[in-house]
Amino acid sequence: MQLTISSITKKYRKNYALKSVTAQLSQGVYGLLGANGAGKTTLINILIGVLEANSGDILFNGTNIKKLGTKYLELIGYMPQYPRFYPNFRVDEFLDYMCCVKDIPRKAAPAIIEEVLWQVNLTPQSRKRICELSGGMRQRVGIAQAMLNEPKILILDEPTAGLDPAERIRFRNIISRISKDRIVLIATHIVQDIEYIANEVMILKDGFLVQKGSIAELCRKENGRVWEAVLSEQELTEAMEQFLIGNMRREGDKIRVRLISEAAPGRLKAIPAAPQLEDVFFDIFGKDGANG
Amino acid sequence: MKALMYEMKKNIFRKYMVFLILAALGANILLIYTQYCQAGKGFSDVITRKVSTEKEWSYYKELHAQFDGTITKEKVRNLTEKMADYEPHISNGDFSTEYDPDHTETGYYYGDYSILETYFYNPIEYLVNYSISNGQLTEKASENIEFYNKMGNSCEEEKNQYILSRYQNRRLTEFYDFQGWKQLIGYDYSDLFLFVLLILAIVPCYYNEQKYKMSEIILASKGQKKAYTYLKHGAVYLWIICIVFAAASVNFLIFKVLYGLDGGWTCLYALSDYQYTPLNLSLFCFFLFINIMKCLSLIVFARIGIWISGKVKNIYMIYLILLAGTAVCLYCSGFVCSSSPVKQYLTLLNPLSGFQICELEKGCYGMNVFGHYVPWLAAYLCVQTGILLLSYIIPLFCSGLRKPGYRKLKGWFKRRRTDGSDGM
Repeated sequence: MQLTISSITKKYRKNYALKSVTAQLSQGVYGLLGANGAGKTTLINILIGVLEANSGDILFNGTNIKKLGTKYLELIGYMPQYPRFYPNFRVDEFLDYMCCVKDIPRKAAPAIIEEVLWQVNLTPQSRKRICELSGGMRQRVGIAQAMLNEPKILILDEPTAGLDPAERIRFRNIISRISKDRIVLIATHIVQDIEYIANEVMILKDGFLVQKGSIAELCRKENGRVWEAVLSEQELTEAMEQFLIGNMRREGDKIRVRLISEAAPGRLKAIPAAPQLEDVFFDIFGKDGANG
Repeated sequence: MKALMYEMKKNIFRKYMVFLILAALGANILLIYTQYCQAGKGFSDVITRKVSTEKEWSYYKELHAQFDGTITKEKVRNLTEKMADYEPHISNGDFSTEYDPDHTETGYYYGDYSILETYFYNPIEYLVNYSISNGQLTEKASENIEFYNKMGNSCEEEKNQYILSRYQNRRLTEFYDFQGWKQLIGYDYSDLFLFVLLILAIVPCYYNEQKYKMSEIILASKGQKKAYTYLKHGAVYLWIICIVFAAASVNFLIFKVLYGLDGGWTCLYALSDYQYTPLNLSLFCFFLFINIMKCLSLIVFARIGIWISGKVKNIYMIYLILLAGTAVCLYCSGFVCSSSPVKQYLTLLNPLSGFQICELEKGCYGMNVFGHYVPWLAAYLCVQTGILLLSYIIPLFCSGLRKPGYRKLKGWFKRRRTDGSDGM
């Protein structure tokens, strides 16, 4: 099973939302990282067939998705950003409605609904109205509806936005469980959400695919660029003008900082640190206003 | 069917809609009752229990019990004799208010005579003489056919042939209290509620999908076309049928309670206002026909409204456009009986012209279409059906134009035209 994104370009008047994005996805969990406005949602909308690219192709197992038509849509499960769904519908009614929309046979629908509710741990809430659910439960309804047609390609856009840490962990566990024999693409700007579960990460910046690879590969590229130092207030102010400063933590009257630099920032007495995915993200996007 | 019910649950089966429907029905009943209370006042020819005295109403009912049903010679003689009995007392024309309960039913000679003449003699005379006056009409039509045939005017010839076919052999043999039917057929205040309930169903059609982030989910699903087009349209059309049926049922019931609706199977032309109607329907069937026309008009109007709802993103703008459109269409629908050909053609395109069917079918209205006479109703139904079908066919055609196969074919033909080769 392979989904090929081949030189996808999308333009809105004179502005490029995506520029020649190319990637190959096979079974596993993929993280699509990028700041707000990087082009994640645009790429997703092209993948789900809602938006048409100006140039480039999307191929599934070698066949253009335009030729596949509705056969491709049968393979897709999609959850949008900040889903609200119909507030007056009960959870089971909403999933039943989605079964109608996805052309799932009426006889098979009840069993499928029961199964997906169990998978997302929403069986006790099945008779509740959607407006009565918490944010985390609503996100789980989103995953449940995406899973109804047993999709081969599951696309989740900012699935953990607005969730508390417990819900985010629960969500990650659900994704890990359902990602067998599927391509799961999670678009997010929250690095921690995919750090534990993604096999590969794609990073979009200003419409370009700037980085792609496993987390280990991407972190390896940052080897020798990530440093840790304990600075005074004065030193921190000076360092912020010279280096890319990431996380800061106050330790008494000193501040422990994590910074990105090509060469060792000698006079700061910094020590090399093991790169994390957040450092990779920060190195790419940090110059756009993180130093503040 | 279940999907349709879910679609209706999204925007129509909501708490506020239930409240609105009940409020609308309540207001409608109140309006009908207010109209009933006002009827019969002033110079109106309507008589109701509300405005008449006990004796007047009792006499009125007694007479109906006596004369309702098939009009016989005996009944006509009876009526004429009754009228003649009052002649000596009213011939001086002084409209005396002398109270004489021993020799009158209502207490007044003029009261008795007025009821007899207005509600029995005149209507029965109309019914009895209808076949004669109608016969004169058809005779004239026959003469006109010959005349226009000689003149070579095919349109007028066809018009008179149409008149002859529709108006031939008409007779009225039964008399009932038709004023309830007259009031019911002419009652159109409930149309306002229909428009309000319809607009409230149309506006959130696509807006709510965007609001609840469902549009992308649905468009990324296999049944997208069904869910995003046909189900929505089906839900709105079903809603139209429901509200028209509900309003018609309520109107029928309330009018039956207040006025009584006897003689529903008598022909429409039993009402003097409709003596020249080309329709050979009963009163009840005409009432059904009016509501069917309302359904059809609203369906075409809704189709356009749904299209607007899909294109315009701002909900207030959608409301504004639909409300303004309703007002303009209703205003222009008044041109149905206009003599101006331009206005007549305009009414064909206006989906809400169907709401004027009551006025239109009082006479024989038609138009000249390339030298042929076409009744307005037939032309209107054809045009509106055409608009509805085209509104579905054109998008299908346009989506076909975007398919790669079509573009490739178009390119092949273009290359063949320019260089004479087969483009391979």
